[in-house]
Amino acid sequence: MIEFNMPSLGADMEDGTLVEWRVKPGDKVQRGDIVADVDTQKGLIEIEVFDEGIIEELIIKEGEKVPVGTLMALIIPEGDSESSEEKTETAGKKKKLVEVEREAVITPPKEKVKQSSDRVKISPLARKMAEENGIDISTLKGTGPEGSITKKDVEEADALKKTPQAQKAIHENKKDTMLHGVRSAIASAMSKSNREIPHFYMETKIDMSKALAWLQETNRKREVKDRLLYVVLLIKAMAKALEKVPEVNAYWENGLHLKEAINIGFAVSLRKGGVVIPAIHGAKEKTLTELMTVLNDLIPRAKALKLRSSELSESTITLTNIGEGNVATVFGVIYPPQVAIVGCGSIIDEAWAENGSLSSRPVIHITLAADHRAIDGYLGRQFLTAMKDHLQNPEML
Amino acid sequence: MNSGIGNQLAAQHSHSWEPFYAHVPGLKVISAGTHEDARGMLATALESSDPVIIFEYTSLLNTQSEIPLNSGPVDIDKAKIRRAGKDLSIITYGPGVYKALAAAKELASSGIDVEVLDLRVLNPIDNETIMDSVAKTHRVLVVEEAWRSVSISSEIISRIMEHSFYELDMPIQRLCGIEVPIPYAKHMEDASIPQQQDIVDTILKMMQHDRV
Repeated sequence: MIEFNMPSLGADMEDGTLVEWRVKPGDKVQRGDIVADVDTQKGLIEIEVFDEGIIEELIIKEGEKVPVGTLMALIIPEGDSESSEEKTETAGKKKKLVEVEREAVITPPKEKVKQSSDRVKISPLARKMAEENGIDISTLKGTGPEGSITKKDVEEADALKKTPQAQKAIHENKKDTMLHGVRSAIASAMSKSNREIPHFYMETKIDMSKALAWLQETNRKREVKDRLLYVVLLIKAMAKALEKVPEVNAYWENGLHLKEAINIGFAVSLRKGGVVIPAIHGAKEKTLTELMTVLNDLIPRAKALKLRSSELSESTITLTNIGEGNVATVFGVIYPPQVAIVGCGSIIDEAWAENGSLSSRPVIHITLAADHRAIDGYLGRQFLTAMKDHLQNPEML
Repeated sequence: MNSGIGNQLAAQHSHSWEPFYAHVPGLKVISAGTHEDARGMLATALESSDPVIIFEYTSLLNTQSEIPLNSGPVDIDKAKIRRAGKDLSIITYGPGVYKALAAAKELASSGIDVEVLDLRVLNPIDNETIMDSVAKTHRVLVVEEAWRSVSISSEIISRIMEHSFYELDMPIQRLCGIEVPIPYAKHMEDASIPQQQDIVDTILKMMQHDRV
């Protein structure tokens, strides 16, 4: 069952009013189909669906105003084998969830009262172990004194985490718990990174006019749904540069361990805050078209926190891409045990000096934050230079 | 100094003054909880250039046990592990030692592996042995006959909090003397200090969460 939620159409959007459903239960939808019109502060917006399947139920009625993230409709993915009984059950549960969410929106003080009793009781040892193993303590059930979480509970959760059911169990949790989990996972990984990794930073500016022109030309020949975004060029160029400088594609675990596979973790921001980093497996071997297909699949799933465990755990380096906007540069914090993170700012027109004259060019600032325990500036320079070279020859990517 | 409780000597002659003396900086306070220590502590104390007070226990004077033939002077610096275990540490001294060992033996049949740590030196306290034991078992029960408030157990627990908080898997528990003048009547005297059964019961309660 796929949840279709009120999308966020910009960071300032808090809610939207459903004006019209363009589909009805039983309709088959495909990626990119417009399913609804939603009225926002920015006007009436056509909402696309990013999944394929059959509309099971429309939960929000036309004319209703709901916050971003609210479940609007349920879609059965194609080839889904859920029995109808299960479906009704899920739907019922979902509806209840929606009601609860709505109630929470109307009566925010309720949450404040709850806070003190929300405090998780956990033994100091168990807390330490949970942090070390990246276990979200809010998902644990304590069996110790006063219902506290003990060493044993963490050990069991850790053992369970390694089984395939675990991923399923995580998805079955309520969304808020998951988001809370994402937040605390980020907090613990980033604190560890900042505490342990001696970062150093390098930056290069790349003239993207050639790459963008090539992209425009290529896209002209493609159908709308097959068109490429410039980010796939960045990914591919990065993969090729890693092939040349493999030391950057590595883990630091009591020493440098080079990784053969180039799995680029692609940072995806979540609507309610937080970031997940699904891996693009074997980025080196994939063509630009394949990479685009992967992204189209990965990003919506990442936003829905429906990633596969391999995607969450196997990235060997991270790419954070600001995308469109006016932020020129981003310096990342390395995701341990990786040894580097590449940051791409927005492409912005800048004054560009070349061959003794000035002109305006679309420029991207690409940064490398690297672990100085593992690699040095020399390798960083090689890597960034390689990336730059590849982006100058887009037809070769 | 002859000390302790358990010979029906009533409030006039039943005391545990260890915390009293251990409070004084510079005074070395040691406690003989085994026959070997009772045999060997005095010689080392006499050699020491510091003032030393040895506590021995009236209730233990008539107990019998074999000691190695070559027993001689013993150190008066370190705590000792009297029984190694992995589930929980009993930290104790004096008459608490034999009670804790008996309780540990009884608990072993329930599958609970208890470590017994004999403090031996009550001032200055040997932190290292205590913290090593906590790091191993993550659960602590402190047992002493002295009155509960402002006691050796208070000091031990404070130190564990200061040094080993992140090793703890549950709140530290303690069994101490009930804060009353020690009664004359045998059953009331027994009830005023921790007994083997109290130790067993407390540990079962502490551990049962692991057996749900």
